[in-house]
Amino acid sequence: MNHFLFVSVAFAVGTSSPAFAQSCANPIEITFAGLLSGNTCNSTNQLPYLANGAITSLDNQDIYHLRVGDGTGIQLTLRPAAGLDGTLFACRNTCSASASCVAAADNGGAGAQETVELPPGPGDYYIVVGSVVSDSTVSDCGTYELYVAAPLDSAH
Amino acid sequence: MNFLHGCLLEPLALLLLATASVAHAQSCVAPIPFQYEFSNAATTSLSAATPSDPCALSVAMDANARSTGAGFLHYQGAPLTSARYSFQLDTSALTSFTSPVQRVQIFSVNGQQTQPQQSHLLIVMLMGGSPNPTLRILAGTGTGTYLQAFTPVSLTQTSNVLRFEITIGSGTQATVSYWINHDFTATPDGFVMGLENDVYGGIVGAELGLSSPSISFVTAQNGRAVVFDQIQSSDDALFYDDFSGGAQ
Repeated sequence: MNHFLFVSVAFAVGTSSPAFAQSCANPIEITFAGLLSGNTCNSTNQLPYLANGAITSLDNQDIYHLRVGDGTGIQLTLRPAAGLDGTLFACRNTCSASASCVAAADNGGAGAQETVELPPGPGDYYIVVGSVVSDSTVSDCGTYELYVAAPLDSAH
Repeated sequence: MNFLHGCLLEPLALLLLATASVAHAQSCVAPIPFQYEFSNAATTSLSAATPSDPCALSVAMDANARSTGAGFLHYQGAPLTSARYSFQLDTSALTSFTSPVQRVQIFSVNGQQTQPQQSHLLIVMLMGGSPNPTLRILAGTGTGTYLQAFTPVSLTQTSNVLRFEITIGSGTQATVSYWINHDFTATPDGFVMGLENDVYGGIVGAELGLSSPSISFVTAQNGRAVVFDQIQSSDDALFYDDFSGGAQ
């Protein structure tokens, strides 16, 4: 079975991120499939390089932490507000500019949804929500929703 | 039970997971010490003339590549106090690559520690230039602004062998040097001294390929491959006794 349990079903309340700035030292823990919301304007640029130092990312970033027993079928989808060109990274083990990332997404423009999938097997991931900085027609920070979807048979 | 905490992570399991991502599909030998491949919005391939030859890496950005468009090899290992890297960079497939607004990162070396936000001991960017491309090289300083740029390097041809040496040191003992089409035994073509890069905790990894492209680079060069060949590193003690040269 590989049905997806979306957040809006799993969690009706209590999943909005707090107003304080998330950071490597103080990430938001993702403990259930569900919906989170945030605002990168409350944060700072914490990792100007990502993915082994390969990908420059000079934007404000929110940091989440996610530990999975099996990443099979787990998807994270970023839905930025209109005008925000969002980016989404899933990086393994350490919250660092040199950490290896398993996935990076910036496939659409302002307001476009971005999705990453975790690989099979256990894993300890830092999820970085950011945005593209370089185009004056879009915002450098803003609000967003982050959906975490997982197969139903992962719940046990 | 919380599905995300259903299993405890064991070190062995993590190791097996990491190993599973090694690119085994190619018919050539992955260039030591690079073990892993990352590709997003890029056409990335490893190939060699014969199966026993080390792989050459070919990367072309897709037309829809954006800030996360990338194709590169990478590795992480035990901290080292010095390392040498060399590779042949072939940009002959790029056309009208004359403007510096066309830029892309091609190589970086990482330290163990982040100081405070970045962990780079070395970053190398490729930029358009006339008649040939230009390299922008930055070294991690450990102090101040944390990155110090070398004078931009104008290449003299479209295929060049690039060599880099990084030594870790405290106070003002550290250096970063480079050679273009010259062996490590020659006088460096450029270097910076007086670095305090021991704060990065040693050299633990590197990545080689294309990443962080400018929009201008993607627009002008999508579908055109940059090739990295003759990839070598001194960070290969299990396999070689010495590293002093490399094919031109």
